[in-house]
Amino acid sequence: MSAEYYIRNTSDILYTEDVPLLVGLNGPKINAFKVKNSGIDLSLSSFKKFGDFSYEVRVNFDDVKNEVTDLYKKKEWISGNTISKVGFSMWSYYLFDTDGLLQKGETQSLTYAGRTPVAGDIKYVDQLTIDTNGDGIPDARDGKLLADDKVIVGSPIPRYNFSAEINLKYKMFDLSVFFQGVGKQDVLMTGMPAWAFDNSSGNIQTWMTDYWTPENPGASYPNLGLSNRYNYTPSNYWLRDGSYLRLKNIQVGFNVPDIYLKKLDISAIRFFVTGQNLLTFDKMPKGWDPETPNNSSYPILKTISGGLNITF
Amino acid sequence: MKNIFRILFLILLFSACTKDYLQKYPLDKPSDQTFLSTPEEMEVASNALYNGLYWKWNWENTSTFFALDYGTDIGIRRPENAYTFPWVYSGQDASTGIFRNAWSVFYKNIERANYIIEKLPLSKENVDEGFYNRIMAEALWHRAFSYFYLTELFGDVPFIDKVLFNYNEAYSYQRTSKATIVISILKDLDFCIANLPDAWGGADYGRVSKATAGALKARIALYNEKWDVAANAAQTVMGLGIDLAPDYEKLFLYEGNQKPEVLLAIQYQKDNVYQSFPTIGGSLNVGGWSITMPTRSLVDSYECMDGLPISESPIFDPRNPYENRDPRLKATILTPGQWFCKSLFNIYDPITSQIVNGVTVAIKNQDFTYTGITTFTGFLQKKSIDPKDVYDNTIWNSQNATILFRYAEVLLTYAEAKVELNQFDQSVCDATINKIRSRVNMPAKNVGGLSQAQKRSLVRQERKIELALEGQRFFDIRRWKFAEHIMNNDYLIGRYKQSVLNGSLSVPRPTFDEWGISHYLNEKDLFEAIPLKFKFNKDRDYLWPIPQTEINVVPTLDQNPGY
Repeated sequence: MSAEYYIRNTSDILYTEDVPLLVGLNGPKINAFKVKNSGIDLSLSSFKKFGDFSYEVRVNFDDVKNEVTDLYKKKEWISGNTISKVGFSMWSYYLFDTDGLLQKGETQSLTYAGRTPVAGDIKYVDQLTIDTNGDGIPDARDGKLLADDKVIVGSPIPRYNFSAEINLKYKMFDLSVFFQGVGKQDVLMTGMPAWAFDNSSGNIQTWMTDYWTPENPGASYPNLGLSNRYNYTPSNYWLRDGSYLRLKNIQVGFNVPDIYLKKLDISAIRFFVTGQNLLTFDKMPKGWDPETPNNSSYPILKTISGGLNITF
Repeated sequence: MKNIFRILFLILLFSACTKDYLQKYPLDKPSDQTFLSTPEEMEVASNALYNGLYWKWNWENTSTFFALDYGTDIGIRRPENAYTFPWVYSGQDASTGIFRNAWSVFYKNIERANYIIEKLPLSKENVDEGFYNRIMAEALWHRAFSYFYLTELFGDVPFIDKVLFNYNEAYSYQRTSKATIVISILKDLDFCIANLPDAWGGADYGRVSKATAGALKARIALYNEKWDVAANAAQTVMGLGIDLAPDYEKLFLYEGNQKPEVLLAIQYQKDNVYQSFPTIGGSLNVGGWSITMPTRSLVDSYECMDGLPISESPIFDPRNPYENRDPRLKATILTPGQWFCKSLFNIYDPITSQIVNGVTVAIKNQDFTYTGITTFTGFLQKKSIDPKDVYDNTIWNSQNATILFRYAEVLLTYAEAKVELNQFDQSVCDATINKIRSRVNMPAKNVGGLSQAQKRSLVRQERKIELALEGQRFFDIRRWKFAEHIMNNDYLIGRYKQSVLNGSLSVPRPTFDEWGISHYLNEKDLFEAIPLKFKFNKDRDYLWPIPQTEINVVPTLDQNPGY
């Protein structure tokens, strides 16, 4: 058993200086940001033998909290759907805040991308961005959905990583399993895997069939439609819980006892069956793999294989 | 003894290191310290300026100068997220990518030009004066060109006329008024007109010439309503002995690439730089993607061959609406029923015809299904798509030059400036509008007795038709200040509905409003709707927003109103 707590401060992170585009040249690389990673590592292992039976268990748990401590001259650094800001984790998600779907009978005047929302559209939240009484704290809404309405809503950096390896042995049989999981992870779904008929040529996936209709007000997907930049815009509506626990590997083996081998002049024979990624517990929509969060790379495969090892 | 040799050797070694020997510049490539001292280096530096002409903003690999017309009343792009220009529905904001892209492309080119303008005088004695002036003129032309587009798109912009070697200066730049910048670049163009050659040949073909400089000056002056300057600059070009190419349609194909009418075109080179418009705009049946769609409004604005609009002409046949029309209609737009690239463009039947190995065969018609990926309007662009690219399988890597300036525009600029100066008489009309019309066998216009407003409509109509889909309309509807009237439309009309096709509803003639836009009485019965609404906020959308990322870095830059 071991436990470790650490704080690692990284400074002088290289960053290409944001030279104004009007200079017409690319900026130099400079040492700029400071980031603090504080985390724990726990590992636990145990091995025991009772006659013909033995077990071995190894459990690992680690967590790291990432925090930007200095951002050079910048107040914040927005890049796409992410923001880096002092006090928050690097590349935190920076998105429109939402409040479910607009229901029949409800109205909302907050237009976006040229669309006035209709029932079944995502309900965006107009943040307080205007300071009317001059106290420096915004206290009114501008009635528009603009870049300043985005808020920090999560982080793509996984937290609470967990893995466990268990090996059991009984006489000639052995079994080993390996679990792996992440306790907290935000996955932003965008593009064709997330949005039905995106680019007008995309498909609709089975999980999207739970789309909004007046008869299905509690739907997990907005109303269906073509060319809808209003709904199909990154927001925390599309930010999903990517925590998971996965049986990465399981293997059952049988070793042929020595007495049968001596006659054959063979030193070992082993039969085994291995399965990979056979079982996953997660909350993502069907078809989304929590281990490949952007869903853009080749999907993780379920594999079952069997084998025979003969050693002469 | 051994040590003495060693010491002697060391003395020799170090004594050789006089200052001159250490000051070595690379022999195999230009050095930052000496660059721009030889004629070869000056030539190389001027070549780099032409990078600024390859303005593309995404993977589509087509010229943005050209593509801008697909964000206007005459052309739209596939109506959805990734394709439509957001300003057609007033949906853009300061973080929309194309604005940052434009800003970056033009300021990069301004930096390249400034480098030459600043460094060239240091080596003036190394080259003869004519060469020196030519390189200087090319740099000034490209800087003027970039500032022209920046000021038209963004209004006031930071005016940088030197290389910012110390980039810290740039963090506090402010915007300079458009008027000030225009005065400066017009003056620079006078130097260009005086020092650029009349024409270029051989490997230098494609560089800017005297005529290109005059044409740019005329365009800038026209856009900025300096009518006398525009008329004079246009007249300078008109005195250079350039003529219109004989064939309008072929001017935009390979064989038109080097016609004298072409004053500047983006040049391409096999396998290296190319454009993909034949793929982007082409019919699905010949491998295109039909992303760009000319609108019915544009099609309707072509006159009939008798010179009358389709609202009046006796030879207009609503059952065959694309016949008896200005020949530029079928040269510019692929209308249903045309054979193009050995394929019959047909949007109404599941089967169409194609010529394969000399034999006409029936094929599955991909232009038929009315889904997101076929043309919603029922039209495609034909102008500048050379069938050769289809036959040679080069619709992605086409070498067909993209024309940025041509002589017909200069004539139209002259005509428009003369109208505004109230000097547009029959002789001006004959030298400009009627010259352009006679090329395509359209009857001459008689302007006797017309008011200035009527002449203005006439010239604007001719400009819309002649330069359609060449990137001028985007700016024209802005400088004519009527974008808010023509870019607000809840029901964009697409293809004819079945009820029209099967004859149960007859097609009436449209009427034209004061801005030359066609209207139908019962358009919702006649036409399918395009899932797109035009919206234009007159208090905001005449200008693009300064890119948000730039304002983040340079807080002294004000944003345009409304953004």
